Amino acid sequence: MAKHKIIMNNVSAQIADKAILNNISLRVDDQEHIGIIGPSGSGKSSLIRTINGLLPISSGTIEIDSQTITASQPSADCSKIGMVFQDYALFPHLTVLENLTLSPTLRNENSTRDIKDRAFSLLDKVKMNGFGNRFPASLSGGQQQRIAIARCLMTEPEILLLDEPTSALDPEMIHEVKSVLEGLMQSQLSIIIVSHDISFIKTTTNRVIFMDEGKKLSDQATDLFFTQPENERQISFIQQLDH
Amino acid sequence: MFDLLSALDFLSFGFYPDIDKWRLVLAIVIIPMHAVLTVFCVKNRYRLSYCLVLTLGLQMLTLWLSIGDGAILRSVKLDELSGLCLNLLLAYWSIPLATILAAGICFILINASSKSLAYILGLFFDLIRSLPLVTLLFFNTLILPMLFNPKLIITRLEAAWITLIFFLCAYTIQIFLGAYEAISYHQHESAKALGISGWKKYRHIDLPQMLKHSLPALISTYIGMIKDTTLVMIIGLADSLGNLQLLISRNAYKHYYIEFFFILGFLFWLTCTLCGWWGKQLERTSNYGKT
Repeated sequence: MAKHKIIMNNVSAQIADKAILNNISLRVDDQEHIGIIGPSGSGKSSLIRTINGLLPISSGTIEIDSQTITASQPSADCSKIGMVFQDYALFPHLTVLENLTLSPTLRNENSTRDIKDRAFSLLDKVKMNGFGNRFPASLSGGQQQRIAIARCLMTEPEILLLDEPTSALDPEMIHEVKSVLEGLMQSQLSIIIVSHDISFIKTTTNRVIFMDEGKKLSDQATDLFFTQPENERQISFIQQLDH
Repeated sequence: MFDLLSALDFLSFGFYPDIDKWRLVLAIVIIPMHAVLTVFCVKNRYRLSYCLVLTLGLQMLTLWLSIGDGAILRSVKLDELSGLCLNLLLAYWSIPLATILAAGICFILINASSKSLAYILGLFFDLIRSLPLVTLLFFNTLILPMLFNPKLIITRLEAAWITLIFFLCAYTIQIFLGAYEAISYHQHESAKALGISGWKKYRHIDLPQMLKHSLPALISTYIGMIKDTTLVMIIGLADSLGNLQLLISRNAYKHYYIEFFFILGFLFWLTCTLCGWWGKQLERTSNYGKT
């Protein structure tokens, strides 16, 4: 049986007294790829933001390996968790290479030489070789997103959270980012991806979670999700996709 | 007929001994050199710590040149430093130190785990910001030594210097806090997701962007500070305006007071315009990656 990487038990979260997540329980196995879909404002992004401590939880527990996150004990170490944001969030005053090396350098994990070597090999992996000395402002959206993916891989995470990585991009750029992401899917990472790109979810994930109004409405294997929906809300959502 | 050159000499240097004037000239020349070096540092993206060492080093050098004494330099009385040089040097001695102090205080205000420390600091600088500069100058020169230690002799120049630093710092803190708000909320999240927090986040992510965002407002505050240095006349320091009044009280010059006011106005206009132009250069060179 596969080892559980993340175990969420009855997790709730709220922002300014408004409930964002409502009693969500979820298990993510080692090397499993999970897609989260649902309408806007359904709590998809909030769910993955609770995992790396960006959104504090109000009740329940999240276990990540041996670490437990509760309402009173927020995340202490998120070095095993990498996150890619919708709007890239690169640091505009640093070059591409500095964006990649900043976090490992500040943590003194390896020698500067090793960190740079790793940065260059990751730039190669996201097909951005030769862009090391450019600034984010001089890159296209797709290129910035690929750099952001390389940056979160610098810390050698075991879990990757992708928060709508292609939403802000035009179709051509979506294609270049997707090809990089598809390459990542071959690696040993546990990946949770929030996306409105249903074809991408269909091709890359093992399991799909459907959310609405802060609740988890269904949790099925990807092929079953689209062919054998579990509830009315899911059926109407899938019908909308076909139009 | 009056001697224009000696009048200008008096406006610029006041009673500073003739034999030591080269020291003041050298100190004044260092100011634009420092400005150029700063643009150079920004352009080549040198570390902030190098800029800090350069700034503090040049500040010490100008201080030593203009009022220092010792084995090499002859001792100069503090009161002998006057004229336009006093205005320029006071502005130069307060602007970088106030900016460094403000950057440090902003770190405490943004990251302080103890809310009371942030509250007390906020209250203190709010008080400074809400009082007129003239009141603060009087308070620091006359009342502060009386309150704490009558034997403590703060020269008027030192009192003016400290007042200007704190006064400018109070404004700069607000500018920096505004610039901090301008950093996108996603930047903070991505820093947190990458495990960068506290001083390291402030030093490597917040501060460089805050300096960039705050440049236009900072420069206009600096220009205000250059002009505010004329207020030190109130506590009896003979700055350029004080020297001008002395000058036109003499018979030989008293019919030309409008001309002298224009000359002094022109010199201030020139200084402030150069400062504004320097700010534009800094903005241009710090636009990394944007054409």
